[in-house]
Amino acid sequence: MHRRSTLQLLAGTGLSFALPPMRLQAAQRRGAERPRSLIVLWMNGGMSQLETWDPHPGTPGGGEVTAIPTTVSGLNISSLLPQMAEQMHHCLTIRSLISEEGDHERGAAFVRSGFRPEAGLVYPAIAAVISRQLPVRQLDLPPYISLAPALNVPEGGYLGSSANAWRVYKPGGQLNNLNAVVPEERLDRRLQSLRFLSDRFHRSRPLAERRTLHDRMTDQALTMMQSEQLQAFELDQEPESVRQRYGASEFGTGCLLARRLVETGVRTVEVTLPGFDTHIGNHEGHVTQCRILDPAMSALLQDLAERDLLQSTIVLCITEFGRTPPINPTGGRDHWPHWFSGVVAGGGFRRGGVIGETQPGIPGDDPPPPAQPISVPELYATILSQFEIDPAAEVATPIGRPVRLASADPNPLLLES
Amino acid sequence: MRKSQYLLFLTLPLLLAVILQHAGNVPLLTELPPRGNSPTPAIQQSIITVDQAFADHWHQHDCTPAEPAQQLQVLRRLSLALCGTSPSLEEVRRFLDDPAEDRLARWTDAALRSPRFAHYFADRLARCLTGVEQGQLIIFRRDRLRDWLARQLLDDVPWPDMVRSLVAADGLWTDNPAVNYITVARGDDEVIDTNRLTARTVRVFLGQRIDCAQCHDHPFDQRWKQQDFTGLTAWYSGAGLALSGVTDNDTQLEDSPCVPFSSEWLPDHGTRRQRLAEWLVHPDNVRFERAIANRIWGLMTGRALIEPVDDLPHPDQPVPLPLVVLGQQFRENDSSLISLIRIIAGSQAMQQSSETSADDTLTRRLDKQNALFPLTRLRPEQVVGSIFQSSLVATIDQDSPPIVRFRRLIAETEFIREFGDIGEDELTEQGVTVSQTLLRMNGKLSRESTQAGLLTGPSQLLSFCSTDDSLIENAYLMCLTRYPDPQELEFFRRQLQSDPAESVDDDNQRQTHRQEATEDLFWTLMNSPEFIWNH
Repeated sequence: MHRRSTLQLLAGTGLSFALPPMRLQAAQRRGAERPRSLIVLWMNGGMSQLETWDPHPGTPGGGEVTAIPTTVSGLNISSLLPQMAEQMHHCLTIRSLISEEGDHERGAAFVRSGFRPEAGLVYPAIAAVISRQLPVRQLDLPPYISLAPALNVPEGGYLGSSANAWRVYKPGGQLNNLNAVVPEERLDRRLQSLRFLSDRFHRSRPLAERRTLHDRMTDQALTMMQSEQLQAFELDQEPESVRQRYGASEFGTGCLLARRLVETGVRTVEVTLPGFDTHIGNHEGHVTQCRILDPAMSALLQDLAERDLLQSTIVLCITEFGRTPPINPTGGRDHWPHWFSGVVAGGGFRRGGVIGETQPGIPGDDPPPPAQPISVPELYATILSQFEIDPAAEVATPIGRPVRLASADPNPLLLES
Repeated sequence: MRKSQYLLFLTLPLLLAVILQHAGNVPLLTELPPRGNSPTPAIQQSIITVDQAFADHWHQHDCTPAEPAQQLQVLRRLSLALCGTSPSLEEVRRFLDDPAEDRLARWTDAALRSPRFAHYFADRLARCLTGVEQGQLIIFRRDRLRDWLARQLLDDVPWPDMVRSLVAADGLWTDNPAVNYITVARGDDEVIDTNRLTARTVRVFLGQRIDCAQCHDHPFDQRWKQQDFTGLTAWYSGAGLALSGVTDNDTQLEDSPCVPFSSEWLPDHGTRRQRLAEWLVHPDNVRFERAIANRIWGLMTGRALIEPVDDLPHPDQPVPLPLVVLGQQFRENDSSLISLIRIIAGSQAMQQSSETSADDTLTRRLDKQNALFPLTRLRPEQVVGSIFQSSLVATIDQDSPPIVRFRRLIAETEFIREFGDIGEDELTEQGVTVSQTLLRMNGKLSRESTQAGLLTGPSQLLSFCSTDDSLIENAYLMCLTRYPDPQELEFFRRQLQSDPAESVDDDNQRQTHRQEATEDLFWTLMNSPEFIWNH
């Protein structure tokens, strides 16, 4: 009603944005034919491998955690993740991710992009690369959305601010800035005046519109404000039982929202779970964190599988580094980039696989790499290949330096044969 | 009683209290700060020399420079660069009342003496020096470094002296703020990361990116070898962290420091870091002067003369004449950043228009040779500062009432969180994003600043401007720092006049319409590309 009349009014005033489609074709397709999406579950602060995917109970440094069997024969994970234990057949568990960055900002920059941080060049997050490489047609929402994002983590990097995620600080809460502050009639008047001023500014500055993107972004903002696709954010459309499955946390809400956004056609979604920097009280910290992660991630995987969306959606649970095998005097674990764990499911990744093995016990001063080490660039090259993006393709940074999309080649070991 | 009136009634006592307190601090309009001085003959001569270099450069590249910009437009650029906001209506009015021909130079002089400039510019310098990494809070205090830089700027300490203090800083990060330049590079393993420190030193002080030489020879510039990098890092290898802060322990070091060129500039005595500092700032080191000249040019205009800002050509290679001359003039004026800013502010290139009637191809060429003032996006804090300033008549500075400064701080923090910070590479060209557009169109700050609420611009204009024309004119001056042209005046005049469909007899309705149209006018001006871009 309101929306229609606004569209007509705007069309009448010469505001030339593409009229949004009413239904999304992508949303209806299922199975492997569906366009791919990526959901990154970002465990901010450095998740301990020992309390999650790679427990070593009963060994020095193994901590208080016990291990439980999973739906994958021979794979035991931490007893703090009982619901995930039921879903591990969807997942490839990688216990041998490696990094050389033991500082939060640098570690996050590396693991999010697959490139070690360099002065003068910020590498884009893998989610930004994918959403930039594969634009989604007929999508009113931004192609890359970050739910409850952490601060100081790179997004668009050298791809420019237009490749940054659209940040939703409170998943499930009121969306920021999507409602016009004045009634429709006044908004129309404002937009008409804005177009008048914008034309005058650009007339004598030929390069301005391309550089400022002002009118294009105004149109996009209006499209978004009026889009039916915003319904993806209306969680009360979900049955109570489904919402409960994800847990009552903000992260759980984010995971449910991620599923709805992927269904709407959003290319990449990140959901952040903060609070893993457990220098003090590591065990208790992970008990708390896993209580949030376990229902949310398992519900997400189950839900995607039930809706036949898991073949087209890659779910990646990853963190900036692992935590030390020795437990410090305050019961905490410190930063440990030498090995850490990540879990990836869907989108053609090996189901029920386990890669890598770490030594139990307290390693010496110069710890050897874990068995079957997998580098983050390798993992990302493989993800790109599943989107049919060539990881060896080069893009130019703003200063014209050619950079590969991923600095390694895909590893077939990670994929379904 | 309408809600806003009710609110006004309730907050009146509070307001009175604030005004009383405020009145004690700042005599309103009776005793404005002194106008600045005219530039010295030395600065004037430097401006002429720099202008001549640009003229030669443009001639060589077959470019006709743009017309001079309106003085008010230049005032806006300078205010954004030096204070981080567009000028207030109060400032604009004072500027217009100044009949002197050199009023821009005098405004600049006054600005350069103000703490507002020192704090804002110090923040931007701190970004260049230490990046935007948060560092480890315990041993890195960005605020202390920033305050220290502000003090140096107010005292007009020569840049080489500042660099000496930074590179060779000793002591505690709280006690000697310059030491934060060193401690920001502390790695995870409790030691100073000399690689990071070296890379940054060379980028900031020599205008050269050699980070890649950490692992291999420079791919483009054969002069930078990996051994150069290793040799440079050794100057920092004596720096360590102790209970007393950063100290030098140069004895028993195994590595031997060296410099990639001109080792004759190295003094014989001093700690390793002191010797490195002397080598960097040596009067014959043209890289040193060009690096800072290029950077300050970038901070002033939004775009460095050579991009990227820290990857300058080797002195043997062709370097654009304006940069060469700007660097020389910087040295000749006691290597003072303040003088450098004055020279840039007074130059023809800073004061030329961003408008042209040329076609796309020619415009691109003019743009490339700086024969046209570059269009650059405002930094987030400039956007928020300008929105905030545009909604108030009086200048927001250290003398503003605490409540105003507090509101501004809160608004800035909130706004930047959503707008996104630019990060270290602030001079990289970026367009606006859809979330920024939404934030500007519908965000809290924009809503509050454009509403005719308590003491906002719209309500002040509504009560003080007797005619529509004066209202529109003042709104333009507040938001865009210029007068509306006749077509614009006509356009918004029509908007302010009552809708013919409404009953013209109803005074209340007419008032409401006028108020809404004024709010709409402010909203439109603040969302226009002219507001969001430096031009």
